[in-house]
Amino acid sequence: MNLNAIDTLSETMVNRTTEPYVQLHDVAHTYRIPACDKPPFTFGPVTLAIKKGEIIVVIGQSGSGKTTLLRLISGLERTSFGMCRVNGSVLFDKNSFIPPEKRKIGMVFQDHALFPHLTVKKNILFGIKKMDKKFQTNRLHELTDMLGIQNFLNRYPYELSGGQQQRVALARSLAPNPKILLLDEPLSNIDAELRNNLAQELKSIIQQTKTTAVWVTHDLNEALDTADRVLVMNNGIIEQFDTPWDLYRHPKTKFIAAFIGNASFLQGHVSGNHIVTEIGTLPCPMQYRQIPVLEVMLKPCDLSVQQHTAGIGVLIKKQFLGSTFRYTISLPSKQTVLSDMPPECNWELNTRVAVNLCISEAVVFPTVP
Amino acid sequence: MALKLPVKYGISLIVACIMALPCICVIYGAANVDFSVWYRTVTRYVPYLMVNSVILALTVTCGALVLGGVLAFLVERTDLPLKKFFAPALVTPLIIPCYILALCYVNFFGNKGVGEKLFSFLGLPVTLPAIYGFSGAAFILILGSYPYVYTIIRASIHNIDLTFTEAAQCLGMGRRQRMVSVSLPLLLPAITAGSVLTGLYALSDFGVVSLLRYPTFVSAIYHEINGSYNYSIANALSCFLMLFTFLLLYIQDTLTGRRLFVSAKNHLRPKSIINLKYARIPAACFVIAIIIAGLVLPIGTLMYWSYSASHAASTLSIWAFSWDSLIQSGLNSVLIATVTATACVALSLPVAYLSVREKNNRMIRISAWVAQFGFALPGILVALGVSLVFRFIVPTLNFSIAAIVIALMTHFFSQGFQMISAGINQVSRRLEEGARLLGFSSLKTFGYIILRLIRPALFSAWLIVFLSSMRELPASLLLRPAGFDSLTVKVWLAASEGFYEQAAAPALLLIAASLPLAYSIMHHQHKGAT
Repeated sequence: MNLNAIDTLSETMVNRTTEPYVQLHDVAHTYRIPACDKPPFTFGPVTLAIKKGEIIVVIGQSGSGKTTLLRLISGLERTSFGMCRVNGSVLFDKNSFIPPEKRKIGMVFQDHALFPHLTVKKNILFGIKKMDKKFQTNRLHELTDMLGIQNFLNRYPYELSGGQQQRVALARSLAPNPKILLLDEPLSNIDAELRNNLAQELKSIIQQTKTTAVWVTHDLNEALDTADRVLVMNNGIIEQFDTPWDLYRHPKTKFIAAFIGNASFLQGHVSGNHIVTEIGTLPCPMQYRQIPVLEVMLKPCDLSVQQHTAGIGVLIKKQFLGSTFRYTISLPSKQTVLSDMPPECNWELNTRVAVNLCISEAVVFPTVP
Repeated sequence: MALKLPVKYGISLIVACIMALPCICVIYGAANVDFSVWYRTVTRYVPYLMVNSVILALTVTCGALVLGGVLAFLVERTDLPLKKFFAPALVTPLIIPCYILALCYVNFFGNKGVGEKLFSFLGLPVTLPAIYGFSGAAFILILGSYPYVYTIIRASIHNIDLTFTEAAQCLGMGRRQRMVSVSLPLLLPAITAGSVLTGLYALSDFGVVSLLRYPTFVSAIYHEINGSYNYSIANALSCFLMLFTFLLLYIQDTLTGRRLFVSAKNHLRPKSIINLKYARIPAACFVIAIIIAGLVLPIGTLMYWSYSASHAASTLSIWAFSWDSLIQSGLNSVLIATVTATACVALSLPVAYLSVREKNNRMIRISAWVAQFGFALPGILVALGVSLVFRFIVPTLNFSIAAIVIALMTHFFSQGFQMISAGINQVSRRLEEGARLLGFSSLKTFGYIILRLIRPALFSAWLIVFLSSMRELPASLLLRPAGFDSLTVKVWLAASEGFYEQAAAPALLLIAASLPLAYSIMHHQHKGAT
């Protein structure tokens, strides 16, 4: 072995340790839906790094490219733009393409895609058929015990409920110990009541097995609830990639602010170090002090509202959300803000209210003329 | 409709009884057959007839399955040239009834037949081998039945849910493994349905095996009744045939079993198309050869006959072509088919309605099932049954138009019933309930809502029974009153005497009348109606 070889070897070792587990670089894709005259759908360019064991939830409206991202990582969709690496080995780049069956990537499909002609047991063992029998039985027991599905191994998929099918689908994709687990709206066909519990359950199982997961959903609560980091997609590109908390508190765009937190926006004028709005004054972030007019993001919990005959706001809409009332308040400038109040604040419409800010830090966006 | 339960039971039971009566009579008649006759039948006829029938049915099933499957695959999943033209053209051989196909081929390959004339015209004087016997019968039955398999398998390939193969791919399966462990099992219901259909088709065929002189159960039964008026042997043989039919249906049932095969949804994503490369041209040639063999050659032969019939002065006046007799037999066919189709629709409408709306009622379900039974039985068996019914009950009406109509009705009831139930299934129960709440009586609701909405289904049910009755051969042949010729009977009699010129015109008429049938199948196949 010569010295150069040692050099490159140590270099790759160094790279391995610093390089993120999953890496996408400038991945782009264009395709046309057949029998449809719409312009071709474009995706990307997307650059992304995921750490080992992380659960990434991808969220966005339909057509925003969430599913395309999964299909590109899994290899079910093929592109010639960009590069994708997992654990240092290339899945695809300009010159190479590993076919999906060689990638060792698990996928849980939206409608589960459990093979209708195979029993639950055969479905779970499908991906490890070639392993030796002992390994198969061990893995089967391990997974079924963990997921609580040991009692219907001999049933056919259609004989199971939605939640049970979900668990079988998860077991099937976890059985071969995938490098990454992709979940394509796994809970979209499940009853709303069950969805919350099942999301938690899926999350804990994914964590137990130390699997790196990319989970697509369009349900906001599911995303905030399960993700280590959330990837917000819009029109085929990444809008923001952050922890749920940062996404909520520090949205980078108005789109995200409105999408994630039901935010409303209130105009404010910059004077010196402060922004003045009609319901109060806030310190202005440094980088915006040169801009005369800004919009301040207000979440429904950022306001304190009291019944007051001389108040400046008027209640114009009232929604009961179960644990809170959500009031829409009209201000003298005709702008409206949302506020969540506890259930005991059961006020009539058209009541006059005093509105005050209860935040000390402002998230602002420049006004688009 | 809010009918009382006994009335509902009554309606469905009566229809079921009418439809089941011929079948019951065959069994009842067989029970009365003398032991010595049974002994003679079992020792002398059954072994070789059984071997013949089974071998033919197996060969035809395998052949049609391979041919239909390959064609369906070529059309759906490869870059075969001229696909838009080939895809529907491959169904068209359906319009030629099998016995007409057989008589065209018998003549084409026969001594001094059209084939020899054609080749000598082209300057190639050759003697073609005759195609009588097993291989000829198998060839023609495969050619006549592959369009059904093709249609079924093609719809199934078209509707297969891609997510399943994608899931297998994510679990590490290569192309061949995916084919074996996912795609083929998912196509299994289509494959079994196709095999049972062709198996029944070959087992119940009368025209082809008789023309090509290959003895099977059906032709033996016909000869016993028609040649020697020996009902007891025919009866005994029929029992074996019925047994076979049941066996086939049972096999289909067990093969499908508990597993459910549903395609979840239609995907927008296009399926990958296999590039045939150098095989493109040979594949296209193969498809063209099939279309020529199944459609162009027989129709060409028939055209040639009618041309020579109108030009050559025939020596035998009774077998000469005459417009009068053609029109007369055409009218006879239309009369029989109209009565049958109308009666069929009228009888299946209430039963279909009840069986859709009272899905969970066991009694109604069973009677609907019994009523449809005649479709699975060979036409000759139904004809024998009806003949027995009349012999037991009203001997004067045996061999009459009424007998033909009842036989055809029993045979084709299922076709009409299926279409009408499908139509009723589309009409939501809520519509009826809405009408009731708006003050319509149940009868009025039925008239104003159901009947109006299922008019297309009623029409297509009527049409399909009408066309099937037009083309049916054995029952029309066996049960007709003396001197009553329908188009099929005319074709058959002329052809079996070797007067092909006379058979040509009615045969072409029958083919023309079958065009809507081909259209309806092509129209339905993309809805995945398997």
